[in-house]
Amino acid sequence: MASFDDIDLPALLAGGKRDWDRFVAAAAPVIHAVARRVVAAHGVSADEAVDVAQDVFVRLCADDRRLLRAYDPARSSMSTWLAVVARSCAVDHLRRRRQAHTPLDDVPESATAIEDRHVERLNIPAGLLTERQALILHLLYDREMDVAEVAAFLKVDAQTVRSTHHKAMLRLREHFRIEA
Amino acid sequence: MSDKDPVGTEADGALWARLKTGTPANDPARVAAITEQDLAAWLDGRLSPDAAARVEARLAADPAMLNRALDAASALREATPPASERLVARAQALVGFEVERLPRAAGGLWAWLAGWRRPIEVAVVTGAFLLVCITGFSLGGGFQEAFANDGAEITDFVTAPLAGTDLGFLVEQGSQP
Repeated sequence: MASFDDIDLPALLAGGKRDWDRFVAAAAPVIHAVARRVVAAHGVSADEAVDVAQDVFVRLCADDRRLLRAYDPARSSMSTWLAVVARSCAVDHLRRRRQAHTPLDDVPESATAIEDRHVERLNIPAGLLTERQALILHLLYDREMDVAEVAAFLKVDAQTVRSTHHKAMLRLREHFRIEA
Repeated sequence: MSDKDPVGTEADGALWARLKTGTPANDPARVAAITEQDLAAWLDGRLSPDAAARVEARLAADPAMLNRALDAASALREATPPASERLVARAQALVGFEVERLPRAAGGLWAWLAGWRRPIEVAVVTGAFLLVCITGFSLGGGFQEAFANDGAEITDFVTAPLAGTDLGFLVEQGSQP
């Protein structure tokens, strides 16, 4: 199976056909996995995942690989960056596809929005919780994720999630003078 | 919260729900925007504590960004099966051979040779063609033998006595108007 370690980034950006082929072989599983998730989340047929993934590759090599040039190997691994970028491209693809196939009058306004850019407004004073405490409470209560899922997402152990949650709730109760 | 691995109490959940309503005490505009590269670096755990805190603040405040992070993290975590051959073939075809150009700066001699690839190809083909011609001609005796044969044939023709049939042919040619 192709590996990202085999990719010569300067040669890939320079336009080498063999380097592009190696890149596709290494990137296809990650991009396809993201496409499958996005397609499933949007209630689209699983067969569409290949087309969605293909569109991600088109965007990566378009305009002399402009998107690919945005990748900074000093800051993240190629696979992680690709997963993030592929997710955005896949959502955009499905949105354009829906707009192209549906009369505009039939499309609900929410569906044509760029993305849910709503920012949660918490009635919690700034600085009361650390960013991580706020994120963990959000994941546990708003996203209904369990401790193991949160721990996996944050790459920490489950006990860390529990203790962070506990400290966050103590701070909230203390600030709002609420008895447990 | 899921009941698969519970944490906290119902009172905790109720408190969190209550705090999410009402007039915001924190200004959403103060939650700094982050880039996709920031998010990827955070997912890889490569950010400084301060930079990671900025990303986590954004994730806690921006559902769309959190969805992006969760989907990317899940896709990376799951045992990714090989992508379909159709996808790989289609994606590889996006870049044609004609656009292939190797960087001259990298690769030393090979990169330098790659820049001269076309002239070298022409030279090799031309050389091979000439080699075949010369070899074939040499096996056939070369110019010297060919001229010698031609000269002998001319000499034989000139010095040979005319036969009766030859004379008849000449008379026939001369009698024509």
